[in-house]
Amino acid sequence: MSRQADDPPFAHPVERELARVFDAHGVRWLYEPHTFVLEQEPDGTVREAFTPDFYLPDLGLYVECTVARQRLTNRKRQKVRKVRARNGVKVEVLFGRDLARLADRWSLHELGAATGASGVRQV
Amino acid sequence: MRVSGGQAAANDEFRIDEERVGSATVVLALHGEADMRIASELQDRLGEVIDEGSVAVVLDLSDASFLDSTTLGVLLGAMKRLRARGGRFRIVAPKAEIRRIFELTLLDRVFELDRSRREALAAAGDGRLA
Repeated sequence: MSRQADDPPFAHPVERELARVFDAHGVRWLYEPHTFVLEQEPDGTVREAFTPDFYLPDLGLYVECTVARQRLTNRKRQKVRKVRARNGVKVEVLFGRDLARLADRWSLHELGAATGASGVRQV
Repeated sequence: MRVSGGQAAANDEFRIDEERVGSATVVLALHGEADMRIASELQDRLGEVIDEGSVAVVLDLSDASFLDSTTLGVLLGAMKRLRARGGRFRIVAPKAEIRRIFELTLLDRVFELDRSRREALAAAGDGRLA
């Protein structure tokens, strides 16, 4: 069911590594299967949309991971709030610090390296 | 105590032990690997104990060696059903490899995890064994 973690195209190395972690733990995932339209012009042109990185079908859960610095993630947070409110879906966000913590706690070295590679300060 | 293997014959390591604690608390202890092959059996057992009126269900994963996302989905469904009836669902997960799967799927934000059955029973409201 899951695409293999080696399959393209992941937008960021951390997504590929997270997919590998899911595979290794028997977690089925889909990569960017849905796009939620948040704002549209009267003519139907999409002005704002949000595509979560992963959907975990067994859990009914979308996962968005971001390695941008925390202060740069406000726009993404707003989108997540909108999607939750308007579509009633579950979306969890893994920030760089979350990914780094998971990588450190469970010795997921490749995930840690991918997270750190983008310059996120690991805590 | 009730023990079942059921469909899990295909997975000879898997079984579910059931223990009733008091009038409305049930402990289901999973042994072995819990994956998609046993998901329907687990779903049925959880459904049974909820339908029988259990107010608190403790799922003891102390002897579980693996959980996949199908199993986690079953647990989510059971928790929702139980909570909708005002019940409590606790998970005993003392082993690191089992706690890890909850953390990696972010379900540690959803489920209430305990380190021991005693702790779970106390939190579930049946403190007689605590």
